[in-house]
Amino acid sequence: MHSAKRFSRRAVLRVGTAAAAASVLAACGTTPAPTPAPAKPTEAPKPAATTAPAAPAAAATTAPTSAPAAGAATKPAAAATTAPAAQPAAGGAAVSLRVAYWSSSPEDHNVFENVFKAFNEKNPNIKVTFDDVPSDGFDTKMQTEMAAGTPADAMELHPAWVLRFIQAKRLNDLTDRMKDDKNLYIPAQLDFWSDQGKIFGVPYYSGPSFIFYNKTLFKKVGAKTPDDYKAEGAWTWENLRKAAKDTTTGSGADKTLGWDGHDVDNMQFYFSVPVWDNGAELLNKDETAWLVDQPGVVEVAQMHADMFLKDKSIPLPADLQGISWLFRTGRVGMAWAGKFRSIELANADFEIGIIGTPKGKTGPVNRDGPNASGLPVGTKYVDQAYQVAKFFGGPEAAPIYLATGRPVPVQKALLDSDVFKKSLKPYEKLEVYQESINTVRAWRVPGKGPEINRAWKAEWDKVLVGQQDIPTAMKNAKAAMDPLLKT
Amino acid sequence: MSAIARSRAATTVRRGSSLARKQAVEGYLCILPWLVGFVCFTLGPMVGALALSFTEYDIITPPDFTGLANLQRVFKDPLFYQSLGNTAYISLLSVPLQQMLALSLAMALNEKLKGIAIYRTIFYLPSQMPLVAAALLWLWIFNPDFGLANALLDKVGLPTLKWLFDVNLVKPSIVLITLWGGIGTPMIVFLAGLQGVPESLYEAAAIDGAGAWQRFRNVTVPMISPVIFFNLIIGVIASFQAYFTLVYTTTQGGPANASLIYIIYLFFKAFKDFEMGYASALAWLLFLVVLALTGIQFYFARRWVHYEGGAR
Repeated sequence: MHSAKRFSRRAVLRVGTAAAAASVLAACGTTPAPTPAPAKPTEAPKPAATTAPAAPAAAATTAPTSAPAAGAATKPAAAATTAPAAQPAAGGAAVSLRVAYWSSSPEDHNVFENVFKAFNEKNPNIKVTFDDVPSDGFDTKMQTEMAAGTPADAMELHPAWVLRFIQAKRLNDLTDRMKDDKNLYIPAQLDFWSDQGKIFGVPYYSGPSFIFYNKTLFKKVGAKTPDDYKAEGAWTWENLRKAAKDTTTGSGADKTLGWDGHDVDNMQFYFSVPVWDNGAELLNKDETAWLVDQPGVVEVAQMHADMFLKDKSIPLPADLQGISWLFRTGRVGMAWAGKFRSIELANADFEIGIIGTPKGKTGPVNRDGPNASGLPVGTKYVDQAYQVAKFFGGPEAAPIYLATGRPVPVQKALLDSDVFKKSLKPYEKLEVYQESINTVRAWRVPGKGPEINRAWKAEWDKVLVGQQDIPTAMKNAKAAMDPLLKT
Repeated sequence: MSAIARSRAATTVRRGSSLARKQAVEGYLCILPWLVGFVCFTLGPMVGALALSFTEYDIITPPDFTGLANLQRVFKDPLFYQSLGNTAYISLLSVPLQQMLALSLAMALNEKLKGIAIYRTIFYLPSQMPLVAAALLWLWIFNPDFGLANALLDKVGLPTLKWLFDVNLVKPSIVLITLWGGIGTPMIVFLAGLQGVPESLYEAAAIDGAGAWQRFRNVTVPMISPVIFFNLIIGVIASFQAYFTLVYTTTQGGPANASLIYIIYLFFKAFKDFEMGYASALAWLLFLVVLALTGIQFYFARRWVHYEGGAR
């Protein structure tokens, strides 16, 4: 019999189309939850204990929890978020963890890979896979994964949005687990990840505020440097403004600007520092009303507006186009920085100085843009994920992570360590970083953060184009931002 | 019965016959991949967004049914009106200018000249440039300190401008950018339309004493009116939806919300503020606005769009 009769064109078309449709429909489904990696039959189980102090013993004796069914995670865990005890893999099998962080460059990606590789070598029963999620939209992706019931086992946290995850009960409460460990950390570093006395993140990165300045430019214009002022005990905000004015010269492409403090229009960044230094507050104590129209804040805002518009020493938005950090170009006298900026200056063709935040009526008080590891509700292996998180900020990962020159350590003991000292470039000063991180005030924009920032920026925009004065802008900002404190 | 009619009857498959059913099934099977894609990735999300527009939903916690609260909030939201106004301003300015420029260029490029294909390519190229790259290029051109635009103004003794950094100039500046990148595609469509106009009509009009303007008005425009209509529909829809990349890259809606277009505001509400319910309501309102504008254009098209053979 001829085979063409058995497999007609029409039949093949039907089967093919049905298969294609089935594939498409299957693709519309959810990804199955990760499963533990198969055990190596000859290998003895090695519980977590290989890294530094083990997780609290209590956790090991608590009944294991099972993974939530796919989709169940759309409802927040009813039992608050106290971390469930880890479920040891059957027969001591190795467990696979997916950890989600973002890297800022291919080099940074390798650093993450190397940290987790080092962890895997020390903990053969825990296999960590690094999921490098782009920073833009990172929180959206994490939220989506949580809604789909497939959260990562550990994830990077950022102060800009961590409260949303905490308040939605999507992060495991690590307070008990960190009971013995929390003293290792600089207290403010824990405050960023805490809410109502509970801790939800394990710190691993800090970038407290300080100032880089361009010694070459100061020499060129013959102005007193910030270090000169400091030597006289006069490193104040008034003298910062004077130094900025002194180093603002020229026009067009040859223009130099004294102070890269342009991001006062972002509530999350540096505006808080001079306000706190001025003895003022941005919010009332229970965070229900903004105080931006109060004299102490208006004074700081006015000083910045004058620097923008009268002194012309702060770059306007038009001066910044396409350049992520103007200081690197050599056209700026002084600039806010976090330590991660230091590596960008490695090839700078000007001499670099470094100094702490000026003094105001109080202070100095500093801000920070830190990161921590959080353990999403829904991960089966909380103990193991906690070990990864703790390893990251601790002494074992330090030779890899601190050596990049990007972070300031988050653990007290590492602040004075050789590995941190070795990470400093010739133009960096240990004492500046130590003062800076020890004077950090943990603060997160509460309520509807992004919307608050947009409302704040819109009022600053009007000031910068000359449409309104600072007292009006601060009054308008308060009116726009107060309702946004309610979530 | 004519021979043609008899032949048609013989070849037409009777409705309801098993062959007709088989053919129908095969037809549906053939379009199934597209149909599945449409249902999963277009219709499904649209219906989902409609459902979400009646809820408060931040992805991280389950949706909470709030009835018409989002809609009520939209009409009290000053940024809704501002973003809609900004979008309408840009649309009203950019769409007619784009169409006029594209048609003028198409007519110039329709001339039978040596090397005309090179000119066509040159004028079409900007529309093929990645939007982010184009936006960065224009950021440089409009730089108040060292940009090309101010250098030219300075050269001819005119005062320099702040362009994208001026609340009053930001929207016209965006329109200028859309003209540069947005005329390539309609120009090609116009060119195709122009090449379909029979030469004999121009010859007949010329014999009757029609000048260049009369030939354009009475021959070219009516003959390519379906093409103009198509470009207009696409242009209006694009102006409400497609300037996201450009505005997001250049101004992010600033300064002081002066370039906050609707689609950017929608994006902020959905993916910065995680107000998915509210953003869904905004998305559906945008859909209805675009639908209404398209409907209006179709209504008035009867008066000025002429189809060959009267077909529509």
